Amino acid sequence: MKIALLVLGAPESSLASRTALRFARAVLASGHSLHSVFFYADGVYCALSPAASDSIDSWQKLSADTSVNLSVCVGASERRGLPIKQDIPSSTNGFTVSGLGSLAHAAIEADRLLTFGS
Amino acid sequence: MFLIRSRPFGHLSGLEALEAVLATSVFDQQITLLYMDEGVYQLLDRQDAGPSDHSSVSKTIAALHLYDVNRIFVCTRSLAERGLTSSDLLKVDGRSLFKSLNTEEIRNLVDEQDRVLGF
Repeated sequence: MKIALLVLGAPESSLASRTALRFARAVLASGHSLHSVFFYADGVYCALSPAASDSIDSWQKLSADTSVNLSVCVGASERRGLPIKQDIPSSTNGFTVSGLGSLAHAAIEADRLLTFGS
Repeated sequence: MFLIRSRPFGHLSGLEALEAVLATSVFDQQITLLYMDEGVYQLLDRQDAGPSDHSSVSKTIAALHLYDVNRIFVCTRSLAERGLTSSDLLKVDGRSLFKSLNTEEIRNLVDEQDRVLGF
């Protein structure tokens, strides 16, 4: 089964990031595949916050291990004043800057979409 | 389906849910919105953003039909628990935008959905 994840909670104030990561590992361990992970609302802090290096490292490691696409919503990041261009120069560090269309795509293409941190 | 359960002020969930709704509306999907729990406050008529300085979501909700998003539901029980009725909710040209559902109807509605995104 192809599973997509939506992360809405910040790593400092919610367990969304950590739970989603553990779930992602469990998905792979049980023989399913990950479609993508989309970071939206406060979830963008998981990918961009200067204080979230643990979260960033863990997601990057997942991406390196599995080549799963990690998408960060550009609108939600800009609204929170997060420095997108400096922190995410390209998709090489595991994260891709994208729009809400990616979330819609994930919802349509994946067999399941799970939300963390609402 | 977008399930909105957060209050309008203090955080941006309601607004960001609507932005996701609008983005999804261009993908030719049947979109359903369900407001329940604290989320019912998002639908109040004459909602005044006031000193909180948050832009109100009312205008966006009232414009959803322009994006062919017409299936907007509200939980009757959540309204009642907060001393509200459907007459307290936003109207466009005197017409209500929302259909109230009881617990059983909500259960059936959620059961019909391919995807449920909670905000």
